[in-house]
Amino acid sequence: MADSGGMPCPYRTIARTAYWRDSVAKILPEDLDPVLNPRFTFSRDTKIATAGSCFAQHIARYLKTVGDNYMVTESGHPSMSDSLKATYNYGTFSARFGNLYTTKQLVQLFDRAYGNFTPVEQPWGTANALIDPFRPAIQPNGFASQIEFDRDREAHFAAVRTMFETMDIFVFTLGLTEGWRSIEDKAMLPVCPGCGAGGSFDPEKYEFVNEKVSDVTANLHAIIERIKSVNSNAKVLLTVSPVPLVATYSPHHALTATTYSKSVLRAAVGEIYDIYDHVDYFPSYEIITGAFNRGAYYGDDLRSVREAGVFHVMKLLFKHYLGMELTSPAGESAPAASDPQLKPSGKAENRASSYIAKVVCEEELLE
Amino acid sequence: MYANFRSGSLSINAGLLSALHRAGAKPDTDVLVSGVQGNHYNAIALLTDGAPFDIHIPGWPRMPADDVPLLPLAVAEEILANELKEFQLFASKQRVLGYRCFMHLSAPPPVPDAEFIRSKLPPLPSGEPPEISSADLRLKLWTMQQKMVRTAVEGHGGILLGPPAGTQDAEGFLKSEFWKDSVHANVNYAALQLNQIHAVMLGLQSDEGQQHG
Repeated sequence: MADSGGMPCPYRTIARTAYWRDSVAKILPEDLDPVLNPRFTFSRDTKIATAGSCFAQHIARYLKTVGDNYMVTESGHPSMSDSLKATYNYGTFSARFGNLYTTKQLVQLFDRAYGNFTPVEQPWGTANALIDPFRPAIQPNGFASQIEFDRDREAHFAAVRTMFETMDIFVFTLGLTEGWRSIEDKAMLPVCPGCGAGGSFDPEKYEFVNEKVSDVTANLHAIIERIKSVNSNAKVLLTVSPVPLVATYSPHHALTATTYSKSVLRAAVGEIYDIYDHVDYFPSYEIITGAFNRGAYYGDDLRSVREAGVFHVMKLLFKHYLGMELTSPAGESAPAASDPQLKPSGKAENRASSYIAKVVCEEELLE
Repeated sequence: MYANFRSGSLSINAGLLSALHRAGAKPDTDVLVSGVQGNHYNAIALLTDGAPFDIHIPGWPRMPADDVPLLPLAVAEEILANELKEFQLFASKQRVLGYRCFMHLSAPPPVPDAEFIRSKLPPLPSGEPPEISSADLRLKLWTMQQKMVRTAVEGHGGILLGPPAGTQDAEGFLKSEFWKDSVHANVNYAALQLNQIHAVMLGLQSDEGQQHG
C-alpha cells in the first residue's frame, strides 16, 4: 500500500534475504546461508591458492580432501612422506609463507618475492638453528645453516612467484590489524619478536601498529594491482577470520580490540568489493560470529572454531563456488562429496582428528 | 654360538664361519656380527628419480650444488631416520638377547664414479639411462647414516666397524680397488672386514683369558 499517495515503500520489493527475520531469525542455525550471487565459481580445473591467517588453513584443508583444486607450488621433495611434509608445513599453505595475519604482510611478501623489498631484519636464532622472522613457525627447529636458510628462502620466493603468476583464484583470509614491524624499514612481522616464536624484543628496533580501515584498504588495493600486473586473469576471494585476538597490545580490552580489528577488516573488504568486479567476499566471518548460532561454533575458550563451524563455512563455500554438497566434516573423516568424481584423497594429513579444528598459529605463542 | 637374532639359527655364511674358526674364534663366544640394512642412503639418493636435490651439512668441505633444490638438513635426517627405524629396533634387541658382543659392519662408502655405477645397474623399466645422484650428496648421506647407525649400535653396547683402514680415498669415497657394483664393495674389502672382526674377537678372548686366568 502506498503512503500518502507516494510511491510504495521500496522495502516492499526487496528479496526476503534482505530481512533479518526471514533470513536469519526464522532459519535453523545449520541451514543459514548468507551467500548471495557469487561473482565467480570454481571449475574442476580451477587452481586455487590460499593465504592469510590461521583460518585460511581450513579452506586449504577442505580443498585438499576433495580434488586437485588446491594449488601448492612449494610441495616438498617427493622422498618426503605426507606426515613429514605436514611437519615442515609443505602444503599447509600454497607456498611455505606461514600465516599472513595482516594485509601489509601480504603486500610485502609479494614485493620480497619479486625483489622489490629486502628487509633489514636478519634471521633469528642461533647459527645452526636459524629462524625466518617472516615465517617463524615454518621450519621446526630452524634452518641448519645460513646457506640452507638463503637457499630455502630463494626457493620459497620462486614458489610464491609461481603461485601469483599461475593461480586462477586467490583466497585470502584477513586476520588481524595489530602487528609489529621493524622501525627501520617498516617490515611487517607475523609475530612480536621475543614472544615465543624466536627473536628478542627491542623497543628501539620494533614498533606496534594497529591498522586503520584506510591502511587495510590501501594494502588491498596494492596487492590486487600487484597480482594483476603478473596475472591479469586471477580472481580474488576475500574472507575475514572469525578468530578473536589472542591478546591485544592496544590499551583496549581484548573484546573491544577484537571488535575494532574485525570491523576494520570487514569494512575495508566491503570497500574493495564495491570497487573491483573480480574480487568477491565470502562471509565465513558472519557464519561463525553471527548471533544465529548462539556461540555454538566457538570452543570452550570462546576463540577456537569448532569443526562444526568450519564445516558450515566449507559447506557453503563448496555449494556456491564448486557446485558440490559436502555431507560430513573433515574432522571425523574425509568430507563426503556428493559429486562421485570428486573423491576424498584419504591422505592422513587431511584428516583432522580433533573436535576443535587444529591449525598452525604462531600468535597463540603469546599465551 | 653364532646365532640369528630372530630365529636363533645360524646366520653367518659358511665361508665366514670357517674363516672365523681358522682365525681362532671360539664357537661359544656369543658374538653377533651384523651387516644388515646398510643401503638406506642409496635407497634415498642413488638415483635422482627425476627430482635431484642436495643438502648442506655445516662444516662440509664443499658447497652444495646450486642447480638443484636444497633439502633442509633436518628433513634429510628425518627421512634417513625413518628408513633406519627397523635397524634401530634390531640394534635395541641385542642387549636383551644377551650376546657378549654385538658388532655391526657399516655400509661401505659410496663409489664416486657415476659411469661405473650406471654400468652395473640393470636397465630401468622406462628404458631411460639411470641418472645417478651427485657423488658428494651420496657421501653426505652415507656420513649421516654412519652417524645414526653408530649412535644406535653404541647406544646398545655394540661396536660399529667402520670402513677398514685404507679403503677410502682422501675425500672419503670407496677406493676403486674395492668397487664391486653400484652399492657393494668387493671381496678384498670383505677380507679387511674379516680382519676387523678377527681383531675384536681376539680382544674378547684376551679379556676372557684374563678373567679366567
